[in-house]
Amino acid sequence: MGDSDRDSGGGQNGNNQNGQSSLSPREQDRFLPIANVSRIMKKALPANAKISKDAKETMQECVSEFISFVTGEASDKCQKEKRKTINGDDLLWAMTTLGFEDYVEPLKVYLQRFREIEGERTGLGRPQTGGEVGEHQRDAVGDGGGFYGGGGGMQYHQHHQFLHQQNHMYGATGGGSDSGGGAASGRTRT
Amino acid sequence: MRRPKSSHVRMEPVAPRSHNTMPMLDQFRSNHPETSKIEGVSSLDTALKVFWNNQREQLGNFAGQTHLPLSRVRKILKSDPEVKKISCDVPALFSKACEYFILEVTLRAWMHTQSCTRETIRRCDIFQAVKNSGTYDFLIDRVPFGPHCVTHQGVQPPAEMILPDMNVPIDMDQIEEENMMEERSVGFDLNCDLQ
Repeated sequence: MGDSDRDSGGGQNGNNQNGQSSLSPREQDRFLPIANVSRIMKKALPANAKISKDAKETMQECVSEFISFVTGEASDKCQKEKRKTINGDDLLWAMTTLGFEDYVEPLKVYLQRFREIEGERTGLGRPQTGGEVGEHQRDAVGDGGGFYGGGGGMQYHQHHQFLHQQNHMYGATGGGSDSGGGAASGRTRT
Repeated sequence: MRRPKSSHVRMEPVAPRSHNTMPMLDQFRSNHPETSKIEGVSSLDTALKVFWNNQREQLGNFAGQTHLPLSRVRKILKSDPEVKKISCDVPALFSKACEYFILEVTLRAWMHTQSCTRETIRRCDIFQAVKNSGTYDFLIDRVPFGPHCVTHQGVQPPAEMILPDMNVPIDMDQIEEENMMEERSVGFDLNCDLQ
């Protein structure tokens, strides 16, 4: 009963002029793919603007720090309230606390829509959502191939573990219970 | 027969919603000639307002997609030992939040790029954007911007220096401390602050 729809991949594509940075595979996992970051940066800029390689790499690092910064605040809140699972509302609270008020209003709208779509998807047995072709619904196999390249049992095992973990989280949410299951917590790669 | 080029505007196939960014482009064009410090601050604030208004409008066309891979977001989240469990909406929410983060920081960096009359965003532009913003200055201690930024800032003419955005409540003592720690140039800092 696996649901891998939401496990979109940042796999390589032919138009990727920069490809992955020179980081090692392990290092890469700390950052969002440079191609995706670069594409989003360009959306904020006029056509004549260019972006240097080191600016893209710096942005990758900044984004990871942003995630860590907000998550740390949300995690502290959950610990104080004796809760084990961080949810979307905790993140919105953390962003407000840390000064990212501008983010909260559009993210609330986004979260509401996301939950509606998830509800439809679960209830209707995973119908295809119209509109843009998105990595969001990309096939897990393709995702694995794009990400982990050729061969390597360890890489495949890691990918498989991710799916297992995701299934657990999804099931927990559906069942309304945080307990049970052997899903790995903490670091997925040791 | 090939279609003749009817205009110089290049449409990026990767960004089909380019019409949504047109107001922002207009904003940039109309403000580009302005070079004074006061106008610089004003154009940044205006650009940010345009940006956030655009984001809210685009949500009306919600397609349930973001441009960042959820699997990678999840990996980054799980790399933190403090994080035990996360609900299924967290990676999706962060995916969108990171998109906003990248867009806004890039916009701020571009303002600095323009103030130097360049068209290529460099790492030092991101550094300046981060440093001059109250919200994003947490990154200064966490991201290795590197000596290039200090060197670049050192050789930049004082007249072009971007002062902190005075519309954001900032502790000037803290700024001075940060400047001294980062640049180790007390005299230069004083000049910067006095202008």
